[in-house]
Parts: sequence; structure tokens; C-alpha cells
Amino acid sequence: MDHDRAVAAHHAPDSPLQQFVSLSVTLTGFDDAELWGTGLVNTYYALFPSIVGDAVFGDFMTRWNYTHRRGAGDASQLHTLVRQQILDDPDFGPLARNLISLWYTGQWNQLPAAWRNVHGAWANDATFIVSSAAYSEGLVWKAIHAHPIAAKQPGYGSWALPPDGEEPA
Amino acid sequence: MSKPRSSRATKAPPAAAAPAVPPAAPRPISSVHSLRRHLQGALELEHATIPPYLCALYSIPDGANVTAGALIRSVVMEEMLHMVLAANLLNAVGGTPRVHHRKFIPAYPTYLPFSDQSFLVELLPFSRRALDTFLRMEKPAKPHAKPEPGDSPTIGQFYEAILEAFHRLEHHAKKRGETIFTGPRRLQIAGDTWYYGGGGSPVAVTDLASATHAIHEIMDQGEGLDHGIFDGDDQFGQVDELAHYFRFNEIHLGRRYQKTDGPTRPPTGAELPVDWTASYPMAPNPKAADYVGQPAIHRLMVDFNRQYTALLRALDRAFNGEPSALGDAVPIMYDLKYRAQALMAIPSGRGDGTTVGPGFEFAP
Amino acid sequence: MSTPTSDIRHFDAIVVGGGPIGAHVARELSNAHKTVLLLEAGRAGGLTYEGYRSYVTNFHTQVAKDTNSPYPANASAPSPREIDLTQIDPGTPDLNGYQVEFGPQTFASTYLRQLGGTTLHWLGTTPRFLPNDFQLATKYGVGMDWPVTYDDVEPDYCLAEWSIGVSADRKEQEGIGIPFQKGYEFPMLPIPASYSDQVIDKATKGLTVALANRRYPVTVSRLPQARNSIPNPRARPPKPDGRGIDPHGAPYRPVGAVGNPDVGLRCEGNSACIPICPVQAKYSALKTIDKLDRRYVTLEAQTVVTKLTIDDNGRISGVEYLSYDTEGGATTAGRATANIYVLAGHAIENAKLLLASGAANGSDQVGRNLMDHPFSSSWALAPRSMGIFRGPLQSSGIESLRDGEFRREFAAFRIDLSNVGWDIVPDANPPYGDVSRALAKNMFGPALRRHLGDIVPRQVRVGFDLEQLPESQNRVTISREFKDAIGCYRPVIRYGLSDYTWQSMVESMKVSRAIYQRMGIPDADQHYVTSDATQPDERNFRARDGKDYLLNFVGAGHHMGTHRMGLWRTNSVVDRDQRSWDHENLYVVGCGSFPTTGTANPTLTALALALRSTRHMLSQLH
Repeated sequence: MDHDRAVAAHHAPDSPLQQFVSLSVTLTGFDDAELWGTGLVNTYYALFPSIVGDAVFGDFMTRWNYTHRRGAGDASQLHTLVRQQILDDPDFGPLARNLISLWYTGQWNQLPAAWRNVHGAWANDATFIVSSAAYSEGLVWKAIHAHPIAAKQPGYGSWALPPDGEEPA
Repeated sequence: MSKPRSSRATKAPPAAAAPAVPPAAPRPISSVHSLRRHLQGALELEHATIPPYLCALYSIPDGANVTAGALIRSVVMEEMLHMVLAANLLNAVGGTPRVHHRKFIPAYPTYLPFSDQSFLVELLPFSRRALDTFLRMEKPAKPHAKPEPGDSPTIGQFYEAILEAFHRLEHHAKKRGETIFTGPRRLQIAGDTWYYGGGGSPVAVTDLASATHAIHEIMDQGEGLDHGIFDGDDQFGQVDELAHYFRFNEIHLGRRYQKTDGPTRPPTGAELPVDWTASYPMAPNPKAADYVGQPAIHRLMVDFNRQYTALLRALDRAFNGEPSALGDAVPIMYDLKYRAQALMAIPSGRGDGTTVGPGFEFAP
Repeated sequence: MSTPTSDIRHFDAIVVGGGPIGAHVARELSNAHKTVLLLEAGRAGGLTYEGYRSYVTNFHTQVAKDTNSPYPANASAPSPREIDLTQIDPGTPDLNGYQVEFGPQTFASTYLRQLGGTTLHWLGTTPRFLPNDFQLATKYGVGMDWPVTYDDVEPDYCLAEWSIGVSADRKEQEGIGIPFQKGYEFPMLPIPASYSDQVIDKATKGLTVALANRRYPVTVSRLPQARNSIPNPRARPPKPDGRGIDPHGAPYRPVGAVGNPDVGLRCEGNSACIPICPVQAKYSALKTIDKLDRRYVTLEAQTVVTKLTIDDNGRISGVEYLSYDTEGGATTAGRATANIYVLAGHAIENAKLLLASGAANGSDQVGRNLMDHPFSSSWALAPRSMGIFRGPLQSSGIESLRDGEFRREFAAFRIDLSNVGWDIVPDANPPYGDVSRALAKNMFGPALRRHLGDIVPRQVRVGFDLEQLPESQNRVTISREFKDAIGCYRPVIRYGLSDYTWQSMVESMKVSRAIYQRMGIPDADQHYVTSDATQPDERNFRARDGKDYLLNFVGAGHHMGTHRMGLWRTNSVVDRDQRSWDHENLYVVGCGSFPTTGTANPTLTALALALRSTRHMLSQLH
């Protein structure tokens, strides 16, 4: 089962899957338990190379590992490095934003034309929502303290209660 | 994790799992005081079935085992109704339902309160092992089995004892020109104002007739009407449904019952496809304490437990004069489901392919 | 009762259109033991629980989540979609999608051709019209009067509300000028007001605004909604004719999902009424169709009626239709006959069919007077979280500006308060648009999470359903040039707004500004129109104050007026019973019969009129 692979990998701190999770944690601002809780770690880990190919994905992870090692133990240093080495990078920035988009919305966005001109236009690189589950588990809904539209409904009358941190009206 | 003990000789369940009412209850139920203690026990008994059922239900991924999931859900809804009915019965005789306290929640694995402790109930994902336990939990009493107010082999015999006590005690009270139905009417939760979504509508308990009605409702939904397979529920505006045992048996045997089937033979209706591999492999009987070494997981476990405890707090209010608190419980129920499903997707880190799961622990 | 003769099938009644109106007509006729052929152009997919759920998951995976996105496209019975809309260049029709649009403004409303009709994606808000809405000409000298009064329709409002299950509070509705018959109560208690409603309600206590030199209160009240809530234990149903209350009747029992009655017994706050309520707590016509007595009702989906035939006596003699097995595939022609014919296929489709048949158009009013509630919005960022994305799309409105002397000069409006922030705001697309904009700024990690958690829950959107007057140049026509895949006419639409409505849009900004000021929102966080000139329907309007305003609106999906009812055959298509002036055995029912728009979402009123008309139909059939 897919799951066994995931569990085994979970225990190997330097496994490629674990590196993918740690990159995802850094990019999304959600911890690894929250990411695993979506049930989508394996889906997204498999999806990325299926769209941009193993080589591009491998380079992306290599860049992350390099960045991660350099910033180890200093959150603010890591943050700066991620911005410089990944998000501002013309090759890796679009990939990083797409990874955030996947986690936040369940949607893969077609990579920008500039990126495609350099790396080629991959057949699967179209804008699409990965699955109903990917939609429902979009982290943006957790970030805004809400539920995904048409999924995970909060129940009758919940909307009358004050949101977390607010007083009754 | 507490270790199951099954020694019938000592009848000492794991300390943490001790029901609030000691198993050595007087028998038969000899006083209103004792009746109240048994009805509080009934609340504990009904509640004790819910976390195991919910674990099985939540472990089924979206789109898998649709019929089996719907059957389990329907049982859970009725167990919740039974909690409301048990609270109504207890309030009717002047008792005070208490569901928001540490001892109200059993520590799984546990014996069912008031049971003969012949089997342990665990928190398990949807699996053959879970279904085996569910069948034992809902096993109908043999026809003419004698009422058992404590150490009951079946839930039905426990309720038979309560029913018998209601009649006997009210009969004695009447002779003195009194009644055992001394509880305030306003504490009764009735109608479909606050309770909905399957299982039927709760009835107010104000006299012997309504008490009998409520107890029969619990017994019939659980065990079947007159020892048949159906629950005889049409007066609640519901279609005739199978009693719990037989609903679980359908899943167990992978086949639906039909109208002409009886309780002593296997079902002969349509096939019910069950995929026993389609469930999250939750490690049995999760406890927050098992994950102190993994703080991100531990935090989610504790969050779940806090929400679960908030649910019990809402029910406590609902059972003690504030029925609208049942409304407050609804958003909490939904939230618990989403939290439980997330926990079940997180690898447990044990290296055995299992995932985390909800603990259902008291966390005020 | 009829039995088929020869190979032509004959019924007491043929009802064209399996939406809410057609379903109710079919129910009333069949309950009186009349045989009914109910014809639906689209599919019947939603009648099984699994089929309906498949639309929900389909919605999840659609990138463009517009009103018809959950429902599979159907080339044999196409429906308009927002994603097909483009800016109209003067003189050049917009041929994109199903509707052909000549402008000058884009007609941006959609409907759905599928069993259950547009109630599959409707919002489910069900206010009644105000008494003055029926008498606009008499009271304010504009528009025209209806051939029925509020009092004529009141009993049928009660029946309609009990039929579809409306959650509302009588006292609250009386407070905005709606009279009720003695003893009447709504079947369910009102849907609770959202937290954001409560914040706005509290902030606007005592607020008034000046419209045409008079002051009017700005009062927040809970919306009547065809959405399951707690049944009102004190409410008893209206008697069968709607006149009086049946004291022995039982309180209302909420109706759950079709095929899964334990689901959807309460609104569960899916924030998705449009385009699909996942639990079916919102009424859809599927619930009525599911319970039709099939001994009397023959339901045929995937059957597109193409023509009504007319005999020498001016009676309708039959319907011709095309049925299909696969969408866009081959069709089979068929014909059926009946004693009476009822068109309930939606304001646009009814008009199309009448025009294609050369029927009912002695007045030359068929297809004319196309109206909507042009919908304009303002939006703002509140100082604190409004707790959005948790309830039904709307739970409260401001109903106190639906009527007043100002209607002599400009349109009235009904204000709705969004529970999902900037939903209709051009290009906002919350929360996805917020994610895209944050990513474009290279935000990531905890800062991204905090940023979204800060800005999205503070979104406020106030929307205005504006009245529109009947104008004969706003119309739907047909043309041999424009046909769909099976050779049926596509609607050709000409549509624009008059100053009566544009001016009201300007007035509405004052109301928004007053609300936002009370909420402590600085001017910089208030927004009124987009400055993006690519938006359809934008227009530079010189208002009465001499200033120029860039205005913009979208459709409300409230198509009205295309076969209006009236007192005289010279200026209306149907009479007060919605019977064609020209064909005594033809009824044309639905929102197309409305002479004026009022400000209330129209479906409830259309249902009340339809129930009223069924009594006339039955008198013909007896």
C-alpha cells in the first residue's frame, strides 16, 4: 500500500519524501502533522515529477536541500535563503509557487510562459484541480478559519457564533 | 496503553476504565435511588458505544464502503438518540444526568458498563475485528432471557431490568399515592426541534407509559422488535429499519437482509460489497500521551480531546435544562469528524504502517 | 381521465419544463387525478442521491466555479454560463456560448436546463413582493400594474411557503411591510443571522438614509429562505386553498435529500447555495418531482419541445419535440397532445418556444420587456474578522429600502449582505484570488498563512438587487441564423438599463457609505466600482448630481417579463390566470409573467401565481 511506503519514509529523516515534506512545511507555514493530516502528501509528491519530469523535480529538491542545510537552525536565515534561492529564482520560483498553490487550493497552475520557454512545455502542465479531496483539503480554508465551499460543512447555526478570537456581536 | 485484562474471576476492569457505577449494583433495582444510578449507567453504556462506532465510520475514506458507512452512521445516530432518551428517563425520576466528567468516558479498551465483562471494546478502524466487536456489543438477548440489572450478558437484559424496575417502583409508589415521576417537565428533550438527522425524534418521559415507550425504543432499535430483525420504528415516521445487530451482520456477511428473513438465519438479500482494505490503518486505542515525543501530532490529539470534552459539556447542559445546547453540539460534532479524519491520515511513526487516530479522552 | 388514442399520446395536460413551476403544476393537476406529461429538455440526473452527489464532487474539481459548473454541459439542451460572457462591442453580437447578445449591456444572468431547473443552483432566498410592487403605475406613476393584487396572491404565498419549506419570522416580515392572513406562521424558524450580519446589524442601529429628500431607516432583518431550519412547533399548515389555517394540521416536517431523507434536515452552512447545496437542505424542485404521483405523471427528460401546433380554432393542438439519448447526439422527433398545455420552461425558453410556434403573440409582447434585478455591489475591509465562509451565502438583508416615494424617480432596491466576503466582486474570487495575489508578492510560510487569515475574514460585501422597469426594446428573439446543436433556436438578447436603474445604482452607494462609516471602515478600505475597463456592463453615467460615475453590475438570474400578464390583451401575453389571450387551452407560467420586477427574488411569487393558475386549469379540465 502507498501508505506503507509513506510510513517507512516518514522514519527516514533524509528520505526524498521527508525532504519534500520539509520543503512543504517551510513554504506553507503548516507543520508536518497538519500536512500529513490532509492525506495528500503522497499524492503531491507523486504529482510534481509527473508534470515537470524527474530531472526538473530533482533539481528543485536539490536546491531545497542545499538551502535547507545552509539555513539549518536559524529560522530567519532560512527564510531569507528561501526567498533568495528559491522564490526569487526564475527556474525554481514558479515551481515553489505552484507547490504552495497545490497545498493551499488543490490546484496546479500552468507554469508561466517564461518558464515553459526555458524548460519546455510539459504535456500535463495545464491548470487543473487535482481531485475532490485536494480541493476539500486546501489549506487556504484553514488559514482563513473557514471550511471549503461545498465541503466539510460546519453545521447548523455555526455561522451565528463569533469566529475564534472575536467577541459576540 | 492499558493492557486488556479479561479475568472473569476478579471482574476488575482496568482501573482507568472503571465505570462510575460499580458493577456490584444491588439487584433487583430496589429503589428510585438505585434506578437513577442505573439510568446514569445507561447513559454511560450508550455513550461507550459511540467512540468505537465513530472510529470505524471516520476511518472509511470518502467514496469507499459507502453502504457500510451509511449503516454504521445510522447506528451512531440512534445511539445518540438513546443517550437523549436515557437522559429523559433519568430526569423523569428526579435524577441528574452527568456526562461531563472524567469517569464518564471509558479508557479504551474497556468493558461495557454493566456488562458481564466477557469481551473488551476497543477503538479500531473499520475492519473485521471491529465488526466482530460491534456484533457482540449489539447481540440480542435470547427470547425470555431474564432481566439483568448488573453484569448483563446483553444490553437488552440490562434495559429489561430497568423496565421492570420502572413498573414495580411506580406500582409501589402509586399504592402510597405517590409517583416516581417527580422530575420537572422542562428538563425533557422532545420533538425534532433540536434532534434530527436520523434515528427518530426523542419522546418526553412523564409517566409510566412514556417511560415504557422510551425504553422499548432503545431496545427495539438496538436489538429488534419482539426478537425479529426489524426495529418497528414506523411510529417515528421512519421506514422500518433493521435492529443494530442485524445492520452490523449485513456488513459482516456482505449481504442485505430482506423482509422475509428471520433472526436465526443469515441474510438472503442483495450483495453488500465491502472492501475491508479501504480504511485508514489507525493504530488501536489511540492516546494523546503516546505522542508526547511528536509534538505536532500531540497538539492535534489534545485539540481533538478538548473538542470532544466540549461536546460532553454541551450535552451536559442540554440534559440539565438547556435543550438548545444540543444545537451547540452540532458544530462540535462536525469539527470532531474532520479532526478525527485528519489524525487518521497521519503516520503514527511506529513503523508498522499504522496511523494516528482520535483518543476520545477527557480534556477540560 | 384520458386514455391514449392511436399512436399519438394524449394527456389531460402537457407541462413543458421540469423546474419548480412545472413540478408544482404537475403536482397540483395529478393530485386531482389528471394525467400529466411532464417534459424536461435536460437530464434527470439529480433524482438519485448518488447522481446528485456526483455534481458536488464535479463542482469541487472545476477550475471555474460559476453557477452551472457542477452540472455537466449538455449540447442538446444548452444553458447560459457566466464563463461564456465577453464584453460586447457596439454593433457586433457576442456569439460566445448559448445566448447571442447584442447589448448594449451584457445580459449576465444564467439559468439551468436540467430536471429541477434553476432551483438546483438558485440561492433560495424567498421574500414576498410588497403590496405596492403590484401597483407601481398607480402608486408611483411608473411601470405598470399587475392584474392581481397582493391580497389576491396572499393565500398562495402561504401555500408556496409551506410547499417548498420557508424559514422566516412573521413578525420580522411584517416589520418590512408584508401583511399576512390571521394565524399564519412560516413553517420553519428563521435561519440564524450570521456573525457578520450581527456585526452590521449592531453597527447600523438607528441609521437612516435620505432618498429623494426623505429619510428611510436602514434595518437589517433575517431573510426568508427555502432552506431547512428548525420546524416551527406552533405553525399549522394553510388550508388547501390557502385561505385560513388548518388548526388540526401537523407542524411542518423538513424534507431531506432526495434518496437520502436523513440528510439535509437543517442548513449545515456549506456556503454553497449557489451553485449547489451539497446536503440538499436548500429546496430544489427535485424534492417536489421525487414525490409526484407517477400513476398520473409521465416524466420524460431529454426531450426538447420545439413547437406548439395550433388548430383552426386557435387552440393548441399538440407539442412537437425532439428527444435524444446522448447529449449532442441524434434526436428522435415526437408529438403528444393534451387538453391543456402549460409552458413552464423559464422566461427565456417560454418566449423562444412561443416565437418559434408563432403562438400567443397577438400583442407583440412575447419576448419583450425582458427584466432582471441588475445587481451592483460595494465592498470593504472591516477592521476585525467578520467570520465569513461559514453559513448559507446570505442570511440577512436590508429590506427597508424596497419601497418609498423615491420610486417615482429611481429604482428601489433590496440589499443583501454576503456571508462569503467579496464573492461577486470583479476579479476578487475569494479566497483563491487572495492566494494568487499573495503568491504574486512572493509571500510564503507562516507570513502567508497569517496574511490570509488576517485579510480574508475581514471582507464585507453589500449587494443591491435593483428594480428594473419594463422596456419593450429589452427582449429575447429568435433567428434562423442562430441555432444550437440539435437545430433549436438560441436566445438572441438585446438588453440595457434605463436611467431609472442607473440613478438608483448611484443612490445605493450612499447607503453603502453610511453602513461602512457606522462600521468604522475608513474610506480607503471602501470600494464601489472596479476601474478595470475590461469588465462587461461598465458604463460612465452622469447622475442627477451632475457627477460622472463609472458603474457596473451583474445579473441576478431573475429573468422576468417576457410573457407578461395584464388586464388587456393588447399589451400583455397572458391574463391574470396566466392563460394566453390568444389560445384558451394554453397557459404560460413563471417569472416571465411578471409585469414589473419589484425587488424580491422572484421564484416564490412565480410559485404562488402558478398555484393560483392551477385552480383555473382544473376548472377547465373538469
